[in-house]
Amino acid sequence: MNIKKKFNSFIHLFTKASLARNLIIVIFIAFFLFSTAFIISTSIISRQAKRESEIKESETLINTIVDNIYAGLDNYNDISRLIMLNESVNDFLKAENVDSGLVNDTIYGVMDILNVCTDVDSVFIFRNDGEYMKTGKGNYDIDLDLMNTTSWKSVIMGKRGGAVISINANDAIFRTNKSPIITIGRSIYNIYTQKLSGLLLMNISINMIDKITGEPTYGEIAFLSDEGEYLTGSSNGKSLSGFFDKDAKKDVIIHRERYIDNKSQMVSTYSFSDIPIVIICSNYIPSPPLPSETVFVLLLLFGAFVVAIFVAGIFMARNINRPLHELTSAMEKTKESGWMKRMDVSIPDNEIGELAKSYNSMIEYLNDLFTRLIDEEKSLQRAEMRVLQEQIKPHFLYNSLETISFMALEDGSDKVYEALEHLGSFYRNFLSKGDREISLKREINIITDYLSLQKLRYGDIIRDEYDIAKDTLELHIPKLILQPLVENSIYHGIRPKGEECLIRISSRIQGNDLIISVYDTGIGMSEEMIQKVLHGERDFKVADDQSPPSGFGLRGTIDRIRYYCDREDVVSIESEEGEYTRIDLTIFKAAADERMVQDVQSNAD
Amino acid sequence: MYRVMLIDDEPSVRKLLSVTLDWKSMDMEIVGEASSGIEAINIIDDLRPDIAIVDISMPFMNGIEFTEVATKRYPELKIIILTAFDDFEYARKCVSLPVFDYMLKPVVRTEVTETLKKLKAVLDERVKEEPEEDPVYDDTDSSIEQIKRYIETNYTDSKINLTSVAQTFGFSTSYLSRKFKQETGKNFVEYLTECRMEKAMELAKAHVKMFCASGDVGIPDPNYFGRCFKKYTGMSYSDYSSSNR
Repeated sequence: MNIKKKFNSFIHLFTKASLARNLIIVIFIAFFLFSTAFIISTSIISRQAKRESEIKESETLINTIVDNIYAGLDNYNDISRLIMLNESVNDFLKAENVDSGLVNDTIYGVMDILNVCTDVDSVFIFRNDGEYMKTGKGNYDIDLDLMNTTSWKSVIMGKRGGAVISINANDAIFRTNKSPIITIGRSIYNIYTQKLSGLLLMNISINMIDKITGEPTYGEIAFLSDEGEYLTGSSNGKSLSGFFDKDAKKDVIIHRERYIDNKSQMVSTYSFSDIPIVIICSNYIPSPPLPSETVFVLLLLFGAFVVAIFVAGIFMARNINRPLHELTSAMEKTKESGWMKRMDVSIPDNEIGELAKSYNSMIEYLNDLFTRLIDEEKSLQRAEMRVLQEQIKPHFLYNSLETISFMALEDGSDKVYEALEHLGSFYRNFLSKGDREISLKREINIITDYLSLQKLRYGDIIRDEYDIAKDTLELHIPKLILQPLVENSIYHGIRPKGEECLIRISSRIQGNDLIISVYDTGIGMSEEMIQKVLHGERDFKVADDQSPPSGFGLRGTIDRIRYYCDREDVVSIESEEGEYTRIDLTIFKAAADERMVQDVQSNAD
Repeated sequence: MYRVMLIDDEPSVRKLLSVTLDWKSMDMEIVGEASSGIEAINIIDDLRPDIAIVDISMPFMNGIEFTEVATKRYPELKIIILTAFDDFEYARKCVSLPVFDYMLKPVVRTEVTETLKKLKAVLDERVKEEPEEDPVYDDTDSSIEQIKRYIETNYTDSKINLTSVAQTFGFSTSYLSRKFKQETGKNFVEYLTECRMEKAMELAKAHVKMFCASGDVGIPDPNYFGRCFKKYTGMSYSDYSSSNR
C-alpha cells in the first residue's frame, strides 16, 4: 500500500514535471540502466573468462602432475621389479637359515639398485616365515599382525607379482616421524618353482610428489590419500583437505567453484583409479585478462548506445522539446499581450508545426468572429445612432425655431425672438457634426449663446465677461471643452452662492501654449475637491437613472484635454473657498496649430 | 441699392431674413423671393438681382443645381449658400462651386450682416466699371420667329429662361427682352408661361394629376405650377380639371 502510494506520487510528480526535465530524467535512467547492464554483462563475461582460464590452468596443472606421477611411479615400478629379480634377494628368500651375512649381501644387492634413484626411503623384504630385512633410512613402525591378515595379504597377492601402490602399505608401515610414504608392494615368486617366496614393500618418500609439482603459480595444491588423509601439497595446501569427496568419479577432473578466503576460486579434484591418491588444487586468477575482442565489442556497443541515447535526446530536444517550448512561450506571449495575434514562430513543419498552424487558424477564426461581432455591434450602434439623429433632426429643429421666431417677431416679441436666435445658434454649434476640433472663436460663440440662454433663467446672478486675445481666435481646440467648465461654474459655483457672480472667459498665448481661463466668483472649491477632480479615480459606476456625481462633466472634460494634448499637466485649478475659482487650460499651441494645418489640408482635399 | 433675392423653401426663413435685417443700412433691398430653384429660374430675369441667398436643400431643384445653372447664365451674380450641418454632404459639393460664402442655419443676424457687409465691399469695387452699350444685331425679325418655335418645342425644359435662350441665340438678355416684346407684344416670360399653361390646360382636361402635369410642362415644382396655373386661368388646377369633366 505504502509503496503503491509512493509510486503513484512519483508518477504524479513525473507527469507534472516539464517535458524537458522528464526527458533528462528518462535519458539518465536509460543511461543508468544501460551502464548497469554493461557492468553486469562485463562482469559475467569476465567471470566466465576467469572460470575458463582457471579451469584451463587447473587442467594443465593436474594433467602434468598426473603424467609425472605416472611416469615417476613407472620408474619406481621398474626399480621394484629389478629388486624382485635380484639374485641376492632371491637367495635371502630361499635360504633355510638367515644369517647376518646373507642379510648384508641382500642389503648390498638392493642398495646397488637403489643407488640409481633417490626418494626411495626404504625397501622391506619379507620371507614367508616372517623374517624380513630392511634397507634405507628412517625408523618405521611395522604392524606385522595386520600384515598377516588375509585381507591385507590378498590385496598384494591378488596381483601375483604385479605392483600394488598404496599409502603407508595400507596402514601396515608408518614412518615414526609420521611423514606419509607411498608403498609399492609386490609378491615375490621363486623364479624356478614359481612358488610364493616373499613380499617386497618399497617405500617411496612423499618428496617425490613435491618434486614433481613444485609450488603452483596461482592457488594451492594438495595431495590426499583415497581415505582423505593429507599427504603433501603447497604451502597452504592443507586447507583444501575439506574439499575431499570420497565418492568422486575417478580418472576425471572435477571442477567446482568455491569460496576460499572470500574469493571465488576454482577447486579442481582428480582421483586416480589405480593409485590411492587424490589431487585437489585451487586456482585463483586475481584479474582475469578479458579477451580484447570481447572488450572491444562491449565497448563499441556501450559507446554506440551512449551515442544513440544522446542522439535521441538531442533529437527529441530539438524536434519536440524546443518547438514545444517555443510554441508554449509564444502562446504565453500571445496570452499576456491580451491581443488575439497570430504567433510568429519558426517551428519545423511536422506535427508540432501543425499544432502551431491550428492554433494560428484558431486565432484567425476567433479574430474573424470578433471582427464580425464588433462589426455587427458597430453597425447596430450606427443604426441606433441614425435613429437618434433622426429623432434630433436638426433641420426640423431649426425650421421650427425659425418659424417660431417669425411668429414671435410678428407678435412684436423681440425678446422671444432673440432667445430663439441664441437657442438656434447654440444648437447649431453644439450639434455640429464633423470636426472634433473647432476654432476658439466658435467655442466662444457657443459660450455666449449658452450664457445668454442661462441668463434668461438666472439673469440676476450671472454676469459674463470675455477677454479673448485676437491671435487666439483661429486656434483650434477640442470641441466643447469650455461649455462644461462654464456649466460647472454655474451649477456648482454660482447658483449655490445665490448672489450676482462674474464669469470671465479669457485666453492668451504664453510661450508655445494657449492658455484659456474660466474664472468665476462662485463659492469656490476645497483643496480636497480640487484634488479629487484633478487626480481622483473616475467614478464610472453611474447608474442610468442617477444623475452624474458633481464634477463629472468637469472630470470628463479634463480627461479629454489630457488625451488631446497627450499630457497630464494641462489643467490647473486655483480657488479660494467662498471667493473664486479659476480653471486654467493649457493647450500646447503646436498641437492646436498642427490640427489647424491638417484641417486646412483636409478641406483642400 | 443692391438687389437681393431670397431662395428658400421655408417661408419663415425668407420672412425672418427680410424682416430682422436692416437692409437699407447696408444699401440693399429685397427684390423678390422664390420657394424653389424652379421658381427662381423663372423669375430671376425679371428681378435681375445682384445677390442671391440660396438654401442648399430644397425640393425639385436644390441649391447646388440652381447655383450650377445660375453661375453659368449670370456670371455677375453673387451667391450665398445657406446650409445646416446635417447637410454636410451637400456642403462638400459646394466647395467646388464659385459661391461667395456659406452661412450656417439657423441664421444669426450678426453673422449674416457681417457676410453681407463683406459682399457689399466686393460689389462696390465692381460697380465702378462702365456699363456696356447694347450691341446692334442684324436680322432679328426672323430670329424672333425662330425663338418662338424654339420655346414651343423646348418649354418642357424646366431650366429654360430668357437668359438661356438669349445665350443660345447669341443675343444680350436685355436686347432680346426688348425685341421680343416689340415683335410679339408679349413678355418672354409671358409667352413661355402661355405655352406651358396651354399645354397644362389640355392636361387638366385630360384629368392628368397636377404633380404629373407640372413636370410635363417644365415646372416640376407643383406649388409654383399651381400658382402659375391659377394666375393664368383664374382657377385652381383641380377646379379647372373637375369643371371640364
